[in-house]
Amino acid sequence: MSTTPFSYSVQHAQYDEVLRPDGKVRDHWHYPMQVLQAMGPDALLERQRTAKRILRDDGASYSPGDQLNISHTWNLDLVPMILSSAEWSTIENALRERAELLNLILADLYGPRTLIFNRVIPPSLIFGNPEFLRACDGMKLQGDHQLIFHAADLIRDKSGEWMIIGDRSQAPSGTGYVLENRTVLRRVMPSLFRDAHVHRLANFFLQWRRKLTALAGGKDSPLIVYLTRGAYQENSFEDAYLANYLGYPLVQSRDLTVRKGGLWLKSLDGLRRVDVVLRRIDDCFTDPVVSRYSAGQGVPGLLEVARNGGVVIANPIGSGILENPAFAKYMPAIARHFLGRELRMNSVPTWWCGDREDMAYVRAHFDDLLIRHCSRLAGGHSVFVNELDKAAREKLLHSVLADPESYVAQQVIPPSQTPVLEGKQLSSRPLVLRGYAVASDASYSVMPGGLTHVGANADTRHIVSQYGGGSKDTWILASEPEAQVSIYESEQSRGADRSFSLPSRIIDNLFWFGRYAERAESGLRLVRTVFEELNSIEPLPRDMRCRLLESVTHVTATYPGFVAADANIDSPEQELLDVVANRGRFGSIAHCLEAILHSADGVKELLSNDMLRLINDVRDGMDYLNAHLAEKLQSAPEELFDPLITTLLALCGLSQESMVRSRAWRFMEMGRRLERAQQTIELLRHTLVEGGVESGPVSLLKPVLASLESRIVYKRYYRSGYRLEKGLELLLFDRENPRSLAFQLESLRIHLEELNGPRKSVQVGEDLRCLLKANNALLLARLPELASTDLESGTCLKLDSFLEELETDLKAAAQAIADRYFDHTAGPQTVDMGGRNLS
Amino acid sequence: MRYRISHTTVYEYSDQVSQGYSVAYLVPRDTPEQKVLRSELKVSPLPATQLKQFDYFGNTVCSFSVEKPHKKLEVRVDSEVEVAPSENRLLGSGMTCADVRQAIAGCATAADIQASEFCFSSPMIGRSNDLADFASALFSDEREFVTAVNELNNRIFEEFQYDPGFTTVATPLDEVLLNKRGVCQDFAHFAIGVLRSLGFAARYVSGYLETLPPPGQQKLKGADASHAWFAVYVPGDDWYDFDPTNGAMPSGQHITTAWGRDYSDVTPLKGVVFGGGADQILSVAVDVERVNEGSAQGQIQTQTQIQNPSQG
Repeated sequence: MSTTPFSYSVQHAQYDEVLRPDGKVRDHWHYPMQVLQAMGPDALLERQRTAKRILRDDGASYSPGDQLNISHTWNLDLVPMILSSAEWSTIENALRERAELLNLILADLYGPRTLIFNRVIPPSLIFGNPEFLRACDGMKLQGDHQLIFHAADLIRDKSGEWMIIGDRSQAPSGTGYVLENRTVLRRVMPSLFRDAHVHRLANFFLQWRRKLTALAGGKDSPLIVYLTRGAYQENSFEDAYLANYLGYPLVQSRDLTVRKGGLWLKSLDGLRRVDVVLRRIDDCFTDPVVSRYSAGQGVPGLLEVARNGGVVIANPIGSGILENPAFAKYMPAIARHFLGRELRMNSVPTWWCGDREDMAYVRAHFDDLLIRHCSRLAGGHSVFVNELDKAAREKLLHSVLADPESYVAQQVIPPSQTPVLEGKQLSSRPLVLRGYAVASDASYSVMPGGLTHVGANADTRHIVSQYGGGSKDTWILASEPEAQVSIYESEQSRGADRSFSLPSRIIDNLFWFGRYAERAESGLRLVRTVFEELNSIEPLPRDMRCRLLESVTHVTATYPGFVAADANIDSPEQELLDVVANRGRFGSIAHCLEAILHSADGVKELLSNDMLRLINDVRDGMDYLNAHLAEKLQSAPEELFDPLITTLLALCGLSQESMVRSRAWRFMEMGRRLERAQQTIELLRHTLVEGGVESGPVSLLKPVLASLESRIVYKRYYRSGYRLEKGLELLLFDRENPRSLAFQLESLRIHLEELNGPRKSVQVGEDLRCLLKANNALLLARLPELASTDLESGTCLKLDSFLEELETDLKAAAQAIADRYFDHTAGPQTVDMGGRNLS
Repeated sequence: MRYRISHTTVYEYSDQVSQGYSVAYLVPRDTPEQKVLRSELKVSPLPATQLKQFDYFGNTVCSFSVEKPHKKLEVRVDSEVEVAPSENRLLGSGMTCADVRQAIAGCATAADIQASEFCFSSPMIGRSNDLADFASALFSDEREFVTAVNELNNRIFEEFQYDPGFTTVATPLDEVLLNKRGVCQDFAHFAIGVLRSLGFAARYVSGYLETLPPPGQQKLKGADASHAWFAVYVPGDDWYDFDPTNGAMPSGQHITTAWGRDYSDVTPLKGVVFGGGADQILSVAVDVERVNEGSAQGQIQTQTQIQNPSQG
């Protein structure tokens, strides 16, 4: 069948978002459909590719579990999910009502518990649930709102009615992806977006910021932090993106400390008092005093500080209880209890197994139901019973019967379907819409939009649980164009906050980011030089070739390598490539590159978009290397390294050009300078020191210069040919040469003095002392002495001991920097102080 | 009876602790049978913050934060408590086990609702069929409930061996059931587990026991250490305390500190520290002395006991 004209037809028995049952396009889809059809499949596909590239460049990814390596680019379908404003107002009202009700429930459960004592809900619904945190009893935020931020998942059934299938009340995820989806779609479909009059999202985030500012109780420029579990989590892209968009420092538990009844951020400039915590971690990870699940994590004493008003946590700890899916069954009664009226929108039909009659129903209809655990702490996922084999069904039923209060059953309702671009066709996919509400004024502001998840295929019932499916930008059509708003209000216009708080953890990452970037670059350049020498028309003498290869092992510390007794000096290609590409080998280039990615992940919020794009190039560069190594082994393998070296150089350049000269930046620079100095010393010691041959080590000067990117300069400065003394002058002493040792040490001195600040104390710090010692030794050294060789052995003994001493001082300086600036606190440990009742 | 209790915990770390936050259930609470005349908690080194609050269950909970580096922490609590000698309550309400089960499931009164909290699995006590089977015969429908609980209490006292070296704070209940050994905390948890598995409400009580032996009787176990027992709820009536370690119902010699669903709700002293190293040395000293009213020297008996943490 021909794919033109580009059309969409219903391929399922559910409600279709675009087409009416009679096959006609729904009114609010007329214009978008026309535009899509006019574009045609080829143009759309091209834009889909562009979108994918932008997402990749933005680093929009999610990582399943803790595997950073398996980072999937976020999947965005170009065809938006579109809702008319009439339809939307139903959903908007329902989301607002839901948030209001959950807010009342939250205040009640940790307060008077009228829901229980008036028998609106059975006591066991709450008392038996591990998410009911008794330590939070009696806690209350100022004002009407306990629940600050809420998300609900919705589906539309066959009749076209929307219903709520679940709530997220602790740290609802997805808003970062909503923003990214919108940003990308606006870029690749600008005219469609503009002409369709789509509601803008900024106002929602403005409300969010306003609420958090208000929670600080009118304090002038309050410190609001965005608390996450840290890098390498499923949503670490979203956290960095959203924290950046909202303008809050991204912190982890270990960046915070409880002191003097308050919560403090361990920032680069010392402790800073935190006013509000935007909590993006679950209850159980917030405070090890409260939850036995948070061993080694969390901020001890956080709950007590919050209880006594020392800090505001939004959403408050304890809000996890609202996620109990069994509430769905009691929502109508709860609405009557609190509001005196019926619900505006139903939840999916739900049976709570703790209820005798419900349990009987669940037993009778077990195979047709979706079984969910009442607490996410249990780790159990939702299970469609009819996807299980007989034995698994019996096992599940047994678990439910043994602990009925902990389970609910939901009716399985196939969601509505909507078209996605699949190749050159439009195919139907089931969808779940996640809507968001944030507390504002006397009620809630609902985001005009949301995160639409679509299934990976037409029949799947696993939609939200597997990000693998895809997502859509969600458009709510406005009747007329809206004005633009900025999410930053006048509070910001008073002047930039120069002391924008960075957690001190960051500098550790930046330091190592600098070190590894340099290590990877210098290692790659050395290996490239070695390949060039191996295939040169003027081959090196065998002993020099041997020494050059050994220097690769020494410089990269990939022992035993070429230092091994049985090293294959005559055909070293395999080993050289292994040094480059073997991820599992400590010291290999691939190992360094992976370390770059790791440290970059920890400082994402500090890096510009261009930097992030280069980081992605590093990732791609690794894949490229792996894919082409085998075939390239035969001819000119050194060419393989060029793109990566260029990327790393660009990264170095950008860090100079696009980062503010803050304290943070200095740590990155120091990492780089220290690494370059140490690598240079290492290379010189293992190539130019030892004599032993007639030609002398000077024959290695050319590759050494090449590897240190100083060969061209050398040739221009000294037309006389390769002489050790001249080479050392350029590589050690020349302050104009950005590759020289003198240049590195001088830069380090400047950074350390700046970090030490203007208060010149009588004693310099240990870090600066070590550095100055090395710097002075270099300043006072006599070049002819260093270049002189021992008459008998031909070895540069002076040079060797000189370099060795420098190496020792630099190592000490690096250690002193780490001791002085980096955060060494391990996680908190819980101790039972012999309180055991023993008698 | 009036008691003076002093409870001192010294914690020595192998490595410096940069900061430590602790929560203590060491200050006794008021109960219908007991009035706390005074109670004071002292910490060394001096904490940066120290708070005394009521928790969810109405217990007094103290928390404190030591924010300067230290290698040794000392917590001392001195209390004076008046305990009313209770009458023999075994004659009870006459409610049968079926009545109790039905009343608890029905939650007819606010008190019933509150008590129903103690029917579920809690962090350290999971309900199970094995636990129910242990005593289901004792709790048949027509039996008088309090009598049945008393028999359960006696059975544990007779069948289980007191063995402080056998269990740790983390020993699960099924292991206690299997080996029938443990300390007061294990026996209390076990009894609670059995009762909850049978549909009753039972709570964990943490406190002290006076060690003075009545004339002609054997000295009670649990001399001058913290102690634990359990209580069951009789709908429309009250909570009844039982001490399975001694096979008795407390009558004037048990001093209640706190109650909760299990040990984890009322751990006498727990802390979260940064640093501290892997090894810690702990010593606990508890004195319970009866104060003789009217007598100038109120002291009858003092006994100090140092516990070795390897047993705990």
